Amino acid sequence: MMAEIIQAGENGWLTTWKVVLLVVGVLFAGMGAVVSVGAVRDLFSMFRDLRHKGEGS
Amino acid sequence: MINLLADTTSNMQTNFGSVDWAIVIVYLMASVAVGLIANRYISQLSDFLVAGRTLRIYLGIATMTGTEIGLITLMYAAEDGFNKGLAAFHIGIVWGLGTVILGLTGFVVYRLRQSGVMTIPEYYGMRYNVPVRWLGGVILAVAGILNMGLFLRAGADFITAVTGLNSHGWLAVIMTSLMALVLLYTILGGMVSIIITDLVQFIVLGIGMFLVTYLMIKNIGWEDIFRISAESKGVEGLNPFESQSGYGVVYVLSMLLVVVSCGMTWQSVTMRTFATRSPRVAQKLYIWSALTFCARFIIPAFWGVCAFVFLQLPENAELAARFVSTPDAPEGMYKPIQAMPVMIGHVVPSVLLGIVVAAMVAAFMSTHDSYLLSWASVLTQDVVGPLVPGMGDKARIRLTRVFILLIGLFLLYWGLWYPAPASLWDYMATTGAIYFSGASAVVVCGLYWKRASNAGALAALLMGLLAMAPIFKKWVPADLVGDGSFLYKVVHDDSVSRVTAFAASWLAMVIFSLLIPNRKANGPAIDQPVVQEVSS
Repeated sequence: MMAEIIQAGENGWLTTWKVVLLVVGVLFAGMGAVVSVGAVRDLFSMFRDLRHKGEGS
Repeated sequence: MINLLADTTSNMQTNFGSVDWAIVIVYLMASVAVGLIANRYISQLSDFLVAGRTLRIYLGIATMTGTEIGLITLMYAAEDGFNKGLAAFHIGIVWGLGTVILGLTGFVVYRLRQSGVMTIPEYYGMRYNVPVRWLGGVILAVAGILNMGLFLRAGADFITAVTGLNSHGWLAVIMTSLMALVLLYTILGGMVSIIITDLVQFIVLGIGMFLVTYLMIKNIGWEDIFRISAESKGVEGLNPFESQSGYGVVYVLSMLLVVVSCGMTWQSVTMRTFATRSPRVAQKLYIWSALTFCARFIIPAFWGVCAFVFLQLPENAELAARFVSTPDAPEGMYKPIQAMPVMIGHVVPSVLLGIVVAAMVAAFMSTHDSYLLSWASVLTQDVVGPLVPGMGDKARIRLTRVFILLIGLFLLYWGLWYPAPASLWDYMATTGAIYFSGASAVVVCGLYWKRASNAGALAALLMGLLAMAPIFKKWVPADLVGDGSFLYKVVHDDSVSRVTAFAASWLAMVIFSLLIPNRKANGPAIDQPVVQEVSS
């Protein structure tokens, strides 16, 4: 009985970590793709802002 | 050089070849060139330290990720996964939860950005007084520099293991070369060059992480990774609340305190907050970055688990025999922290390996540059600044550059001579807690409690030093204080010392503020915006 409970507990943790890894992996990959595109656009805006600041000072 | 080459031939061959070297070197040269180009955009101190506060949301997320997923992160998370199994994943979950709570509530983050400061100690000076700012600056700089003390060696450990150049001589050569490169482009470009290189590194690192994970799973097999790890480590390798897991309930609690305080007060994280265009953007940055903070631990911890399973396979018995279980290894042998890079060197094919190593070196550089700039700016702005009134922007930029150089030289010395800790992650958490156990009380009470006083702030900062207790463990043996005593646990158990430091700092803040209130009202209350928001 005790061994079965321990086994069930181990299986529960094992499934939890598999799901966590899959969810985090997929979300992280998706976020990486979206952020990369947006960040390149933001970079050019930052240069524009800094150039304007430099001209204004 | 002859000795170094002799060392190389005695080592295990990996897939890393001359094409891979060429890819890595071209990448590094390009990074330095970016630093030189970015130098043209630096005209004021705020351009150098916080990129003129022009950071937008996507670029903020990319650069924060670039900074916070360093090679050191990959190494300590993989080491924990290798030693403690899948249970190590819980640290990533705690990071993610802590960060998303800060982002959703705006707790501390919003008001801190609203204050318009560039460093946390600068906030101390605005809310409390100059002595609080100065002491806070000194403690932050000391804790921060010690915290990054082993970055360099972990980076060099990675490169020597993945390339097969596993010798003490090569370790020193690679450490020196890496430090020279990072110093060059951080000193030249400041925050602008850091943002550009962090973005490139974010993209390269993302591709590298995807490739490594895919190849590890393909090589060993998804089900086998989990099955062999669970069979070898048992329930201790699965359940982080199990005391035999190497973690336990107190450990998980201490992690929660560490990650929330780190998100609120750690200079390299808050620096990105200060660089955002408005408090709202700062808040959004935290919500989006929560996933990054989660993934940055879980994915490399999984690599550590994969490396453990890889070495259990019968065909890798010869390689496994070259591993020792101690944090320091004799010449030519591998230590646990090198298991992940050794595996990468064997499962990733040439050319792809060059791209992956370039991504990892990118991760190393993007963390190093931000941290160097963080601690150097704290020393300039908060330690020297208050002592030398009237110092201009140009002098401050020059002084920051000198501090970057001095910190770099110290790191080289510390990385070469400091004995390796049993767990790199615990070393990081403990050195960080020296600062943020006190800082969390001082910042939170400063922002939300009108009666928080200068005396309370000083007492809280000093109490945070309790987190240093484990450094003195060899002078407090069990027969002196009894191995079951609280004092023994504070000195010998990193998680107990961290929780104690937090509790003592908060108590000191409250007690001393009530006992010794300020004679006149504290300066600028943060109920009202101190600076105008920049419209986005």
